[in-house]
Amino acid sequence: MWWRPLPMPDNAIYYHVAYGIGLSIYLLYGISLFVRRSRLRT
Amino acid sequence: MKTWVLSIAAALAVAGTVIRAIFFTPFEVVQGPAQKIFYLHAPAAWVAFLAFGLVAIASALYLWLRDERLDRFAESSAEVGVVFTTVVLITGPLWGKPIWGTYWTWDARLTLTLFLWFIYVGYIVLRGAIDDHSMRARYSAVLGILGAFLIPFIHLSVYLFRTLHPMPIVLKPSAPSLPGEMLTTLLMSFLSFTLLYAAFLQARYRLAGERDVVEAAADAR
Repeated sequence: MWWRPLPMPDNAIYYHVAYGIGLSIYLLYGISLFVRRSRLRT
Repeated sequence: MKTWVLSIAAALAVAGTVIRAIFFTPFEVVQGPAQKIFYLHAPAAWVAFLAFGLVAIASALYLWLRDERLDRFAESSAEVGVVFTTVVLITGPLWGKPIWGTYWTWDARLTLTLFLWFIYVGYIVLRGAIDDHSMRARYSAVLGILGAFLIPFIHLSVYLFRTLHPMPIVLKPSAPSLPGEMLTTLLMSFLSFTLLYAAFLQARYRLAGERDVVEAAADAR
């Protein structure tokens, strides 16, 4: 086969999971601030 | 300043930093990809220390001046600090597993950081448990000040105790020991996550102010 995907480097899964969870926490907190403020105004 | 201006600036800064960290920063030769967790973990720890340090300062000023805005600021900074400490406590073990071979060890720095998180979660719970406004502000101010005494111990724990945690590579007396590309990414991440803290703090402070107005109106009825 002339083409093959690059192998995933060792331990890359940990860094993908860390970025996924870490950034999701910030995003969810930002959304929670927006929702709490909207609920307060109604 | 409108809340959304700072929020959008912070979101763009964080997005730019993450793109740079993932796609334009080389892998570290010994640790491999897992080392990139550092660009999320170290700034979160810095922001957590900043947030709790400001809680202590605002709380001390509140006890002196009795200005409700200081109490609101402390409350807001504590909540945002807990969010950043949560990220520290999740990303740290995810780095530890491939590098140390374990997610968690009862090392001085890890344990003290966990205690810091417990103290400020307790701070938030305490605030929710007391109805009287001035009593709530006084009690939580005392806890907010005492909790921040852990911060210098956490920073110096790698010198004070025998610990697995790496030594500081930027916040130390000598020059930073990182190659230029990695150092630039790290400094960008410090700046962008500090901006994110400012955006969260501003939004949370406004929420606290609006909540107090609503509660005062309800009490007046």
